Amino acid sequence: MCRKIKCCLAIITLFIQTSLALADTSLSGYASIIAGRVIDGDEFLADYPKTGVYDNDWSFSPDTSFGIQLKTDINDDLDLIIQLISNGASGYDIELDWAYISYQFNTEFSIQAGRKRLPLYYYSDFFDVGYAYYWIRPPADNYTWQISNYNGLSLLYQPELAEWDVLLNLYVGREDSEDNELLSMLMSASVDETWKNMVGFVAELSQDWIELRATYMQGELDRTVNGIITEQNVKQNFSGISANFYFYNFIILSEFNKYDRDESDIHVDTQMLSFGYSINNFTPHITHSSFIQEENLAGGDENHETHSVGLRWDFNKTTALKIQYDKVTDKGINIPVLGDSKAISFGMDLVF
Amino acid sequence: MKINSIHFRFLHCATITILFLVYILFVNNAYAQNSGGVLVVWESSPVQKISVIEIRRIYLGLPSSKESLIKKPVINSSDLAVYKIFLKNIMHMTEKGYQRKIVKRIFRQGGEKVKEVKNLSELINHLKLNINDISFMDPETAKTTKGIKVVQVLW
Repeated sequence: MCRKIKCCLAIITLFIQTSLALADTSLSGYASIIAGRVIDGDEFLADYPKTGVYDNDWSFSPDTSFGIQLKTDINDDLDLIIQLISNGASGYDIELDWAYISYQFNTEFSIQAGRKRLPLYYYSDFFDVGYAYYWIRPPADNYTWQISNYNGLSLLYQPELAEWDVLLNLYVGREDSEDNELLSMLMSASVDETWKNMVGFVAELSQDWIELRATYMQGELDRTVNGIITEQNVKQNFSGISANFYFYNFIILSEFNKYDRDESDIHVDTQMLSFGYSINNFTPHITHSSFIQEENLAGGDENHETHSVGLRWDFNKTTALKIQYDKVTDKGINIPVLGDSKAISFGMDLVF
Repeated sequence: MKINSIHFRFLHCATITILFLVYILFVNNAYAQNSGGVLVVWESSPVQKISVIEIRRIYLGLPSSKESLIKKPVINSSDLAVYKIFLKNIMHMTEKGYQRKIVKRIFRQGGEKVKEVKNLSELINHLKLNINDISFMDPETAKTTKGIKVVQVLW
């Protein structure tokens, strides 16, 4: 961990020095300061990738996060982008979430090389930017994956189609995760995980009142548990669709995803459906999400669902106050996650 | 007599309602249509007329074409009525929808915030110091503001 922080600090120093030497640098950022606790049950896993867990005591750690993004225009076509994030769930260590260079071929087509968020789910790219959605966090049952980033190449094509905004993204890459937080917690062992030969595609079509998204990724997985190789070159694929609607004051958000790892007989369906209603600066909302793994020969039967009710108050143009109640039902018999729970959380999200 | 009185009141209310609806549908809308909006730059700016689609893309934080010579867009919220019509007529979205897109663009694609100015003198100063930047305002203000050049009529 110390090596990671040193590496981050070296990159920050280098970046600041480079930025000072170059003319055009912009700074953006976000923060989520959230407190919560379990009011019924023992534990509530709010953030799977970073293992943010609430228990019976009030805590700020599971959902609180801070992020800073620096963008430097090296020249008219070449940009350097770095996003550093600090999460309470990870002990407030500074982590490098994004670090890539982007070359703009023309107004519609660009290529990025470096480290980016893995765009599996609708909210994957901006999972930590709480201001960008009305929940305290995106529905936890959907966002259960152990790998959140990749190092590689990404091609981005953003044309206009009449009044539609289009985004097509093709990416390739890999990620090596030593002592992976989620798997190590779930298996009570040290787990190293590698996702390699990843090839993925994202297509988005949007207007003011509608957003449609389709995604697909395939790749291979290596896993080592306590130094013993348990999986190697295992093929996996992920596909998903999302549709969001904004009819006057009504908001409907939905997401349906499928994950298959045939060799390990793992097949997972996740889904989310949410309704919101904007009343001036207030948005009450209700959500159902679920994670269902088909029971396999190894006994894998992870199965949980969450019902959430919450309220977002847009306090001003850059700050939102939120409160949310979550009820988790853990139906897994052989693989229960953390059992049933009811939790309350509230806090503030801001961008600058 | 009583029936006539009720009938009269009903007609009176109906007339007021119809007049109000006519005002909302035509007069108010006509004001919105006629109030107009223009794309403006500083008088010495080399920026030339561009397509409305490109203006929309630039205000979404997407890169501009090199030929346009535009560097950055500026939101003029000193006149909220013009800003709202700009969002409706050029961006084809509500203010909330626009904010949603911009925040996502910044943190997903390393975009930049679109600068927003809340008073006219600040906007004029900004355009004077950044001659490749663009903004929008109503034509009357553009006509009476020294140093401002109209690039094109937007609506």
